[in-house]
Amino acid sequence: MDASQQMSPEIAVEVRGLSVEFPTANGPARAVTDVSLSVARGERLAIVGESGSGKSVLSLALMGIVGGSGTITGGEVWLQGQDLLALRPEQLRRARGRDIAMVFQDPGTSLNPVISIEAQIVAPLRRHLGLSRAAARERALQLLAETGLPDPARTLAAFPHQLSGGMRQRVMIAMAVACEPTVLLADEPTTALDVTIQAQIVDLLSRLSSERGSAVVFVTHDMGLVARFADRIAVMYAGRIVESGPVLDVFAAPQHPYTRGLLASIPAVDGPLPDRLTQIDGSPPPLTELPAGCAFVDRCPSALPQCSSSQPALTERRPGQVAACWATATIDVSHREAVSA
Amino acid sequence: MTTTEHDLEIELDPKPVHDRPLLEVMGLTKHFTVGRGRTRAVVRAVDGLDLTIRRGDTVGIVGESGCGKTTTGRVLAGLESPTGGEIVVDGRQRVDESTRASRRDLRSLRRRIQMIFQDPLASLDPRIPVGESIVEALATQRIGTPQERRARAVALLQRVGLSAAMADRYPAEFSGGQRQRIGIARALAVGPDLVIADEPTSALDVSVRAQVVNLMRDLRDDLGVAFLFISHDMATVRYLCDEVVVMYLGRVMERAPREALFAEPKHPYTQALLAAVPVPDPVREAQRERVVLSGDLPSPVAPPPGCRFSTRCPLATDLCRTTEPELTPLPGGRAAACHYV
Repeated sequence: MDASQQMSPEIAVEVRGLSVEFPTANGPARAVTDVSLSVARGERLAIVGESGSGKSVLSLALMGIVGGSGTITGGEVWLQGQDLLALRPEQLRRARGRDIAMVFQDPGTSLNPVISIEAQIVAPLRRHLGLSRAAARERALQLLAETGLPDPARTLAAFPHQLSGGMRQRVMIAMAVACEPTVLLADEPTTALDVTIQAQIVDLLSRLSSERGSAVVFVTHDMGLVARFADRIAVMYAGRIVESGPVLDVFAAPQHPYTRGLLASIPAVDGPLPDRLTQIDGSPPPLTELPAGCAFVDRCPSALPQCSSSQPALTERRPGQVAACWATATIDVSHREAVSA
Repeated sequence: MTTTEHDLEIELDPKPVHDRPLLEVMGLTKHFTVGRGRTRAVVRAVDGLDLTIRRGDTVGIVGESGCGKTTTGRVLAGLESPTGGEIVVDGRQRVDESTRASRRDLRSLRRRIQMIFQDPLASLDPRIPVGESIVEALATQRIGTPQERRARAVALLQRVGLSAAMADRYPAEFSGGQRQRIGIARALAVGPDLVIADEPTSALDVSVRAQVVNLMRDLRDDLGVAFLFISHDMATVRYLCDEVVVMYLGRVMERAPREALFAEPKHPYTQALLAAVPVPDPVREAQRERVVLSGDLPSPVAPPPGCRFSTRCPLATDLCRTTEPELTPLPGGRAAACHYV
C-alpha cells in the first residue's frame, strides 16, 4: 500500500472512482459509474436516489461487498487505512464486523429466524470484542435497553418472529452499534415501518451516532428523512452522483435539474400547498443503455445540445456543494444569492 | 343489458351533480376469523365506520398498518363483504351478494365503483396486451360493440399519457409509473362514479409519483369522478383530498376538511401522526415540534379497552383506558373521537 494514498484520520470511509457492473441478457448494467465519496467521523451522509440509481449497490460496496454476479470494474474503497477491495476474504470479514456495520430495510430477512436474539447479538460481541459469554450478555442487555426496547431480557430470549417490525429494527440497530463501528450503513432502515415507528428509529439512529461518533451512511428515497437526519446529501441518478453537498445548501439551492425536480415534486404535510406538483416527465434510462452524455438529458427541462454528447463532471458551486450539469454551471447566480441572502 | 353508443359519450362527460350522497356508510364492520382451536381469534379490521362521499369528492383515509384502511376500501369496492353495518350507494341499500338478483346489483356496483391497487400488476393479466385488459373490463360490463371497446381503450390510454401503439404491449413491457397509468385507465373505462385508490403511488419512485398524482387530480377535475384515496402518505393526501379520515385500529379517530385537519389537528393521534412525518425542508424540520410516540401499534386482534389509542396517547387518563369515546361532531364540519377534544 502506498502511504501517501492513505486517508486523513478524520475520514471514516472513502470511495474513489468506483464502478460496478452486473451482467444482464441485454449487456452489462452499469449500476455504479465512477463514484467518489467520503464520509467523516461523526458525519451523517444521506445517499438519495430512486430504484436503479445505484444507491444500494454503492452502500454495499462501502463494505467491500458486491451482490450477486456483479463485478467492481474500477475504483477503491478505503476504510481505516485499508483498501477493502484489496483484502483477502478473512481480512475483509474482520474489518467489516468491527469497523463497519449495516442496518437493512427489512429486519425480518437479516435476522436468522431459527436462532434466538441472544445468540445472534452475543456472537459478534464475543468475536469482535473478545468478551466472555456473561460479559457479552450483559452488554447485549444494555444495548437493547439503549434502543428503547421495553423489556430487554424478554427480547433477548425471543426469536425474531415474536417481535414486531419496529422491535426487530431496534434489535438490528443494537447489533449494528454493538462493536462501536467507525461507519454505520443504514439502507432504507425505516421504509418498511409505520411513520410513528419510523420517527422513533430515526431518533434512535441520531442519538446513537452522536454518542458514539460513528459516521452514518443513510440510504433513502425520502427527502423528508434527509432533511430531518442528515448533515450532507449525495443525490444519485443512473449510477452517478449528480449532486452532493451540505443538506441546508442543497435544499436551499439545488444545482442539478434532477435535484430541483425531486425537491419540487414532493408535497409536504405543512407549509404552502402548491397548485400543482412539479413533475419530472419520463423515467430513468435502462442501465444497459446509458447515453454518452448526461443520463438525465431526456427528462431535463434545461438540456443543452452538449448534454447528450458529453458527460458533465462534478464542479463546485458553493463550498462543499458540487453538481454535474452543463446547463446550470453558468446560470446558478440567482440561486446562489438566494442562499447567501 | 347491452348499452349503446350514447352511454359511451356520457362517460366521457363530467358526471351530473346530485345532492344525494354517492356513498353513505354507517357502522361498517369487517371482522376476520384467524387461526383455529385455541389460537382462533377475531381480527376487528374495521370496527364501526361512518363515511359519506358526495359526487366529485376526494376523500382520503390515512392511518398506519392495521388501522383498517385497506379493508375499508376492499369492502366498499365489493371485493369483500362486510360483517355488519350499512352501505348505501346513491340512495339504494347494497344487499348481500349471495342472492341471484343481487349478483346483477353487484355487477352494477362494480361498474360504479372501481379500484386502483398499489401494485398495478395485480389488476392486469400478464398474458394479455394492456389494450385487451381494458376491452375486457368493458365487455364484462357489456359496454359498447367490440369496435367501440377497442377505440375506447386506445382513447383512454392516450388520456392517461400513453400512446395508441402501446395498447398491443404486455404489462411486463411497461415501467411502474406506466403500469399505474394503465391501471387508472382500466378503472376509468367503465365510467365509474367512485374510484377507490389503495396506495396507488406507494410503489412508485419519487420522480414518477408526482406524474401519477397530477394525473389523478386532472382526471378528477375533468370527469367529476369521486375518489377515495387510501394512503399512509399524509403529504400526498393533503395535496389530493378535500376531506380526510384518520383511522387507528379499525376506528375513525378524526375526520375533517383538509385545511382544518392539517392546520389544526384535534385528536392526539392525528397530532402525533403529522408530527412524525418529516417535511422535506431542513430549516423547517429543525424548528418543528416533535411528538414522538412511544410503544408499538397494538394488535388489531386485541385492541386495548377504552380508547384504542390510550396505550400510546400522551394525554390518556383512566377514563380513556375504560371508556371508548364516540366520534363526536365539532364546529367546522369535523369530528373527533377523544374525551378531551
